[in-house]
Amino acid sequence: MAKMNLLKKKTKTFISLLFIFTLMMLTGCGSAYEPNELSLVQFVGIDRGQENLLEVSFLIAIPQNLAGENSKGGEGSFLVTVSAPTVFQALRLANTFVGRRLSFIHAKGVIFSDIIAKEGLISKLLPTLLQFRETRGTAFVAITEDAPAKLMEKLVPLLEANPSRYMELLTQNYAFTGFISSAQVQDVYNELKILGMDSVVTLINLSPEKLPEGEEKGDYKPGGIYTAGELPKKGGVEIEAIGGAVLKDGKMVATLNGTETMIYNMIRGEFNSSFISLPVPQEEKAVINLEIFYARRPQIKIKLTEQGAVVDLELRFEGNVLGGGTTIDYALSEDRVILEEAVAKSLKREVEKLVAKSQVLGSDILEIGLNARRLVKTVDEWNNLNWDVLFMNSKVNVKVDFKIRRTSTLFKHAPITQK
Amino acid sequence: MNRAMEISKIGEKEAVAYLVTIVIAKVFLTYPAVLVGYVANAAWAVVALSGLMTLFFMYFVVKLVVSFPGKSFPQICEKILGPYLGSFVALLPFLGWLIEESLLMRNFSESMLIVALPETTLSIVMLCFVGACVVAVYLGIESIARASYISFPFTLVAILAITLLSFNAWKPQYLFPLFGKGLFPIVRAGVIRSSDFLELITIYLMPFLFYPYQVRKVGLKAVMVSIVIFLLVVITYTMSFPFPVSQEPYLPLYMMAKGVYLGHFFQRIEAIFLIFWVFAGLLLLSGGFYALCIILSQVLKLPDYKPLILPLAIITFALAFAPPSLPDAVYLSNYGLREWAWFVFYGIPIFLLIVARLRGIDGKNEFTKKEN
Repeated sequence: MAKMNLLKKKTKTFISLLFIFTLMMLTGCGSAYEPNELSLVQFVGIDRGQENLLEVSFLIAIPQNLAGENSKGGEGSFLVTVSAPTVFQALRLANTFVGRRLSFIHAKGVIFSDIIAKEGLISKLLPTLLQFRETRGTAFVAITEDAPAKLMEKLVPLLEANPSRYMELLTQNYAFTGFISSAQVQDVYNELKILGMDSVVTLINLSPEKLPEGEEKGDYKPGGIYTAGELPKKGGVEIEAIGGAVLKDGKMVATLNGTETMIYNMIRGEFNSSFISLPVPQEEKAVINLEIFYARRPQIKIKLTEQGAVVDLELRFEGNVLGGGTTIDYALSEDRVILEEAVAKSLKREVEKLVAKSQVLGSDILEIGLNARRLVKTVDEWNNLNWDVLFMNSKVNVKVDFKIRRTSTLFKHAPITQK
Repeated sequence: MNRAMEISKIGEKEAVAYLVTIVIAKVFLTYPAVLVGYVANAAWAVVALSGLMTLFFMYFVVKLVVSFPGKSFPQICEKILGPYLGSFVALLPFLGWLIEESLLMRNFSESMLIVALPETTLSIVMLCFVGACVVAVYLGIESIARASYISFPFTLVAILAITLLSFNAWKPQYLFPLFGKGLFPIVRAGVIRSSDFLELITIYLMPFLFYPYQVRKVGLKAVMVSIVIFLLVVITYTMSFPFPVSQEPYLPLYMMAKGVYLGHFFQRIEAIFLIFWVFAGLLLLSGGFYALCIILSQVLKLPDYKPLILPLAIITFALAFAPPSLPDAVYLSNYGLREWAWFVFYGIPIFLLIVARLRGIDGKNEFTKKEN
């Protein structure tokens, strides 16, 4: 009996010791880094190198300047640029002068130069970045026609100290402007690898910070005609994120302006809402503003005929009249129908233009191929379909419907009296 | 009679929770990506088909256990095949299970290195797993089963959270072409991947755990719940990552967890993943390790399994280092072993039942007679 008790006691001691040992080992001693031992990279910029293959820039957070009420824009981060053969070598080389170990665990975005993008290097650099355990697929991807280092230098937010937070908010603005793409690292990676889908990534350029001078009177131009770097503006952060870069097999082949990017978002089902304006159909030189939303998710139906693929693309929107340079009462059904038709016609024209552009580029950025996968039963059948050629020669029938559902806060619009 | 057989019995709920936990623990590893590798977008069909195949095999597993109530697996083998051939057949699942256990231990430990402890030595992580398993096996199967029962709702919620919260990344079009690589690959994979439910052979390897009248119900429930969970994971995974990207990762569910982004304040939920992943892994490894000890002790006719714990822990630990790299371990576990394991592990009860019928052996009547 005493022997048994001794054995039990020994077993208990052994298990207790083992438990303590396990707890100690599980604290991750071999891989633990205190926050003050890490340099948190917020953005990675990749450009063609002159001294080596690449010029890689890292915008690194200065955590102590990001917290607190007195933190100011521009003080929250610093930029380093290294000439290196690969991104990981750049990380390594950067740590020859940055004391804390560089880490991607909080990296919010990757910005490629257009030179890199046009050479098709995105298809080589993006997969290796995503393969790294620290990189997140939810980081945004952007292309700049300026040097990424120069662009990142100007990422000095005014409303928040943290460039990372600023960029997170800026890249989410597609939800209410439609002017940029929502493409993230994982999306672009997926689209690089599957047949029948290509990407559009956000275009971010330096702003010339210049407004036209002189006495000339401007004509009406829709807000979305600009691409990044062309927008006449002054003040604020000295960058512009508007428009997109079209990728075909990982190579940048064209750019889209703001309106085209909005239409791209609309067709792919990634549109949320946006203000649009257009000339008033019943009045010369007057402009009307509307806020538009999806009435229904986009419907893409594809048929294969002997003549090729026939695509029926149906978009349905509804909107809210916000008024403008007219007092026409759009609450009344007669004028409302005229405006509805004008909006639908305008959107249909833009959709047709973008479809034609993507067909000419041979880049299926509109996910038509993704929907065409229903037409076949097996992957082999899909691969043998030669979708790229079918898409370029397909007939796309566009149908756009728009209905006014609200007139904002006004039930009626009384005319302005001529006194 | 072996001491473990005398004292160990688990209730229906614990049994179902334990069996489901050890079956579904592989969703935290490469399982969904492996299925995609076989049939591309049609991985869901493989789950459904392999589930049905498992139900078919379970009929024989349950029949064997019910036909020989109160007998251990080695005793059943010896009764039907005689002492020498019986012991040999009883050792077959032991050897397969030992290799599987070692590869699982390697995979779980290596995965820890990928996602959380990149600079920690592999042997340290494996020692932690082995240590925890040894403690759990000392405590016995009731403790492991109860831990499964208690943790099961949490594991389920974690899987649901990861799969459903990734809805932002879902594109139902990724499920097409609906038949993936074609009907023949689906049928082939459906049959051989029935080995993904292989952990259910616990029912005939350790029949003494279950009350005979519950075995049928426990087996059926465990298969059905596992199928539902597998389907949920595989369908949401296929909608989140298109083929061929979906066949690439080591840890598909971890990738899904990493992709969850519901605004500034709700992201980086892979930390939750890590906790339940390790816990489910430990339950699977402990359960498997317990089975190893029990089978060997019964084949060797030892009165207790506990003296075998440390030697078997050392053997498992050593075997886990046999594959030279993680890709080798993943390949061996998912293709090298599981592609033929279904044939052996599910074939044994069918073989035993056929021989028993031919030799006119009826364990139930004999048992009843003795009882009377």
